[in-house]
Amino acid sequence: MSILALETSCDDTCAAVVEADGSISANVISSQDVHGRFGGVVPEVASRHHLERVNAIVDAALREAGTELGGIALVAATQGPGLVGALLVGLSTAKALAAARELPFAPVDHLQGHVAANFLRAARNGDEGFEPPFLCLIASGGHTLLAHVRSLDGFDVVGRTLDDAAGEAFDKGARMLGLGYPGGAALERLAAGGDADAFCFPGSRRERARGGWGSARQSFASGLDFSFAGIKTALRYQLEELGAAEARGRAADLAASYQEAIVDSLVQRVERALEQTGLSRLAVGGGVAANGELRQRVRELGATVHIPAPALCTDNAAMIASAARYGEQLAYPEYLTLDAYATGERAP
Amino acid sequence: MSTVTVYSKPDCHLCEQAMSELRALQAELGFELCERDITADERLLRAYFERIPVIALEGEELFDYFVDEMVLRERLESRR
Repeated sequence: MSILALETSCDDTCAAVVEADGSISANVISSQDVHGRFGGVVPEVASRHHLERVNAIVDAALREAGTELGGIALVAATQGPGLVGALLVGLSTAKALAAARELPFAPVDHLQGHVAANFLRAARNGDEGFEPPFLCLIASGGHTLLAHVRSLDGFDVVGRTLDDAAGEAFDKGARMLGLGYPGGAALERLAAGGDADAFCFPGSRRERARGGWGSARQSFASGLDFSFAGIKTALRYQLEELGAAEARGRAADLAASYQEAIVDSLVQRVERALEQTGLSRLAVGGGVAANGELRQRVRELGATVHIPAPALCTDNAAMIASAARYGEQLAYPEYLTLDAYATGERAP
Repeated sequence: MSTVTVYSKPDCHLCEQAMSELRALQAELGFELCERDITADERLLRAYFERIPVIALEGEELFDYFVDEMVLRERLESRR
């Protein structure tokens, strides 16, 4: 049984064909490079690009899988959360494809998709998949949360960001350091040549040790929730204090210290959540999972760690197909009135 | 007087936004403003499709999606 899935929640147009056993027959991702000059994703522009590309991307996925619509048994798409205009392009396309053949349809939650990326088998990497129970850290440009994954079809959120996402902190920090957008990867490269102890940013171990940020708010300081808004402001003030010339000269130290603070903040809560839940298995997903410093630090925690291949960590449709295997499947024509949702939980 | 052309489509809110920004600048900067509906011209539709609005000055494409007021000012100044 082949599943065709679409994912268009942000600025990547994605289609994939996945088999019932979790093996991936095709995973096509088309990233929109148009947003860089605006310094961030412009929702209206993202929607239009999805619209222009979605049919070609579906064709490419079917072709790569060596199948056609007649070989598909289930169609799935991300229903939310995300940019509503962008979501609607993938959701409507998927519903239309399913309806044309009277196939069942599975609406999938984007975050459940990131969790389900761990259930996929990536033969090329010898990855046989990772089964619950485990703790899952999802950290991307739009989301940052800790999920206690008890079963294949759901999870409990044990910690979430109270403001910005970790990936957003990386990208906005990179922009302030003049590395362009999206600049998370460029910031990591710059940080490699810098001294992480040069500056003290909110959320870092050193800052906590000296009783700074968050220590006054006991429930936050000892909890599992994240906050990344303060660190961006701190970087801005630091840059102003240094002045342009010195900031340029110390860019690598700034990047290293900034990265260290974000990673410290993530790792501290992961460690605490492992303790509190008694879990000894950890999965990491979302674009921030590509960060080498984070990967190394979570491997030092002593848990069994699973990090899917990079193409399965960032937004992709294979993870949506994976989640569709275990979630709700609607028969034709029940799904025709389904709507996308921007935030929070799925509408009943 | 220079002509600024906006390639647009009906019901495109970015186009409406660009037109209203340009109208607000028109008196001060002094240019002719001309709006072209790309759905009425097969060639323009193929060229621009969802990449609208496209804003051109005397036939040269300056921006798509958004008006950059500073660049527009500079370009109009240099034509005087």
